[in-house]
Amino acid sequence: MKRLHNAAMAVLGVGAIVLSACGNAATTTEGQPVSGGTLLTSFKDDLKTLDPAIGYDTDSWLIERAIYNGLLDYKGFTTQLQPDIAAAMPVVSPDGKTYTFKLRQGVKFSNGRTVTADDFKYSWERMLDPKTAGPMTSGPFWGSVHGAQDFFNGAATSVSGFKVIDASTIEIDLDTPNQSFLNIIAMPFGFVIPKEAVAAAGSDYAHKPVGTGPFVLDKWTPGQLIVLKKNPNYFGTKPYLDELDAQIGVTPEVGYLRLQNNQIDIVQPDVTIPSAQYIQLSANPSWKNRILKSPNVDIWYLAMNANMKPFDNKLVRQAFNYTVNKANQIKILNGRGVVNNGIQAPAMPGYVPNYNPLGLDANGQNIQKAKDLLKQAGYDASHPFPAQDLVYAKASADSDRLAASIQQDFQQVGITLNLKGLAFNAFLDITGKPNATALSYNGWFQDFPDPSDFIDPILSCAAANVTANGGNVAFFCDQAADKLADQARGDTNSAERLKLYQQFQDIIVTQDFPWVPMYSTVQTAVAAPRVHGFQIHPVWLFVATSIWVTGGAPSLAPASASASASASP
Amino acid sequence: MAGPRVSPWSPIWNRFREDRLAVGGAIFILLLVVLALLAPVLPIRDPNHGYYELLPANGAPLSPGGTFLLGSDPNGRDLLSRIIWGARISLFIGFVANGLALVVGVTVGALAGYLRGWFETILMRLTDIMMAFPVLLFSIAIISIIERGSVLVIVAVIALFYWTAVARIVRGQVLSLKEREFVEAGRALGGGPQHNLLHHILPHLVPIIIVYGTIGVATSISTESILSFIGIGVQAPTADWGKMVADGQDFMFLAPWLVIFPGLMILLTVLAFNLIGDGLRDALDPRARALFRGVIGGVVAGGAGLAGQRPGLDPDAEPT
Repeated sequence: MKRLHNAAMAVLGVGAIVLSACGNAATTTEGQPVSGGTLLTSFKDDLKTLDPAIGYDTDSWLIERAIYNGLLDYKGFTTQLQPDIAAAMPVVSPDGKTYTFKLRQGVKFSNGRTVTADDFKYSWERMLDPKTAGPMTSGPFWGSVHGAQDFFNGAATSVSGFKVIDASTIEIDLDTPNQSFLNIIAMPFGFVIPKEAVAAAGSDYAHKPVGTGPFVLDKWTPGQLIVLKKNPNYFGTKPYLDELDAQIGVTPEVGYLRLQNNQIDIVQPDVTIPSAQYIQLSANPSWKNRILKSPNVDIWYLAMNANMKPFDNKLVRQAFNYTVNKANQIKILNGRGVVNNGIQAPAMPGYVPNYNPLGLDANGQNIQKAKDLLKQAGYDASHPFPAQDLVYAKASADSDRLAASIQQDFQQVGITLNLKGLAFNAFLDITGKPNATALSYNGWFQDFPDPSDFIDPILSCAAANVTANGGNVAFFCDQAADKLADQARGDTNSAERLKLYQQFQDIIVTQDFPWVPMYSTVQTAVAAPRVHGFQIHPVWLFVATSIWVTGGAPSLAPASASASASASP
Repeated sequence: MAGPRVSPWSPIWNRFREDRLAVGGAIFILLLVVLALLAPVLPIRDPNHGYYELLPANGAPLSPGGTFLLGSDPNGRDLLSRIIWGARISLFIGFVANGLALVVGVTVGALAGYLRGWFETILMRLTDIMMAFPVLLFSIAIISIIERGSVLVIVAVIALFYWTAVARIVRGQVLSLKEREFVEAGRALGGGPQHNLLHHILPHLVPIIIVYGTIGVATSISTESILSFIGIGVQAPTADWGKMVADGQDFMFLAPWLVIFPGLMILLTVLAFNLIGDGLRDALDPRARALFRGVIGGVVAGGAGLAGQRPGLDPDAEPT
């Protein structure tokens, strides 16, 4: 998943780090589950899409997950894969290149039709089809499927590596082994959709999704409301909730006020509690024990585009690596994070604890060294460093504060930064284009718990070779490092593989300096007292199927309007 | 027997100083101007430096009365310093933007009123067109296109919108003044438009310019605050009252001082300029009360309001 829009969104880790989360519940579970009722949640902005071939952001994924299924999913609230529409885990050939899946019997789309292997072939080819214009059509993750390249460049009309053996068996052939391919299958890009629904929706499938999931989309009023209803045809354990509503246009700041007035059940579950509300709720006896905390598998960093001046000078990029006060960033986030001098998140396999090859102080700085390097690079009082724009996504007041702190850090070494806070979509557009943004404040968190997810989509040459919507915002490409990543991707010896990824990290942090790695965060969330079974999922953040509600639902209408309505004769 | 020489300003001053509210406003603004001018030499902290090390581990802003007299913001910046430095921005933009608006407005209004004809038609329809634009929306558009956060652009945008009201009033005044005998006499003696405007009409416009100029500063300051509040005005880290209110919003319940102090400064400053303007109006021309009542009402009703929406501002009204 994905680029993050503020310091606040993230997926969680598998629990490798222990936080001082004194007595904080891991879940809001209590009592016996009851069926029925409506859960009301909120989003700040409207969803981009509910087409699983297109969506690559946490908001869209959150609802997509309730509507669709793929072959595999994560078991409960762990990061361990288990069969979902697949009847069992796949048979993998000894060379690691062929995966054979048997489908579970009797899985139906919400329109009543039974899912077959053909539906998967159709869905995946549509997802990779350049005409769909989704994020996977340039080759990340699925590029090694046999025949995918021919399909991308139009030499083939279908992907030969997706083989329908019979109605309930599908085989996938890869050109090169990929140790994280099962995780890739489990991403929403691998979800199954019915061909007839796409045909019926015409160009508007994004708003008329049909899937196999626990819920179906009942209503989507753009910019206002999304209503999901329980899917009667769902093959799995039925959800407790009858209905899942999401009100759109509610900023987190307003959302948490409404939560405390019982006007909302859960505020945008993929965004952590904003700092002001976090301090306030933590000090409130009736709320502080309801706050859920969990370490994120994420990394926040400044990306420096080495194709653009002045960052084409390696000494400049190196100097920047000694300048940022990372501890201040974490203080602004109320201590909900840890300083990170590497490129992998703490909970990721292969993470190196206390990684600090540059010998930075506890704040992550060495100001004198930064000044020396800038002087070496030719900048001094008579040749001042040119003022730079720091581009960041502005999702809450916290984003501005984080950027302001960095602005101050660079003042110390004589560099002026102008803060350019942008809306999330504008931010993604401008940072995803080559030679458009020199310096940006970015966050990345896991699509799946494998170190390759922190390299292939954001630090590989393939990811730099795009014309738009790129994830490699530093447009970093080092052939030698790329070879290590290629080697690691197919390596079956996991210890050796992790070592390769650590070598990759060393190249980034001590030789090339495309980033200033800063910190990894802790996710926090809170639900209204009537909500039970709410838990932060390590990959999906939010899972609706575990939740049940007691007592009356908050009214969608403003309180005064409903009062006057009930008072009228 | 000639009496002692009396300056023409002294009866005005005598009338003004009887207006306690106006004098209070003037003292407040005077103090503010002095503070703003002295900001660089006052023993106060750097307004843009975040003292993160003084903040508690959870990053909560410090309350007033401790290390920081008026408390700190969540970036560990001194609120007192920011308010004093913020005064510089607000006053600068208020005076300069309004000064520009006055120059343009008086010129356009005087020329249109004096020359009449097609010249007047073009100028006054241009004024009408400018007045028809929703100020905020148009400011957002202009600032986004030109340059966000540049003080000069903000000044230009504010001036661009507020010259129209001045132009209408001045035109109305000139229309009536040019029919007076002393202007006619000037014309009869061979004075051209330039001479008549500068030497005979302009001196009579001074009271209006002073009064509208004072009230316009209030309008300009509140407009600047609004622009900064919605994020297209003065940019970080520069201290600015409107921006401080915006930044402190989410901490409103936790740290109300973040919003109260800068909000109060905007309120008091705008109020003070209005009170001074009110007092000056009475002092300069006690007969003009009726004409200006609408102006004051419009300004108080909302800084971003359109002059054209101000009741009682009939451009063609003759002074009574």
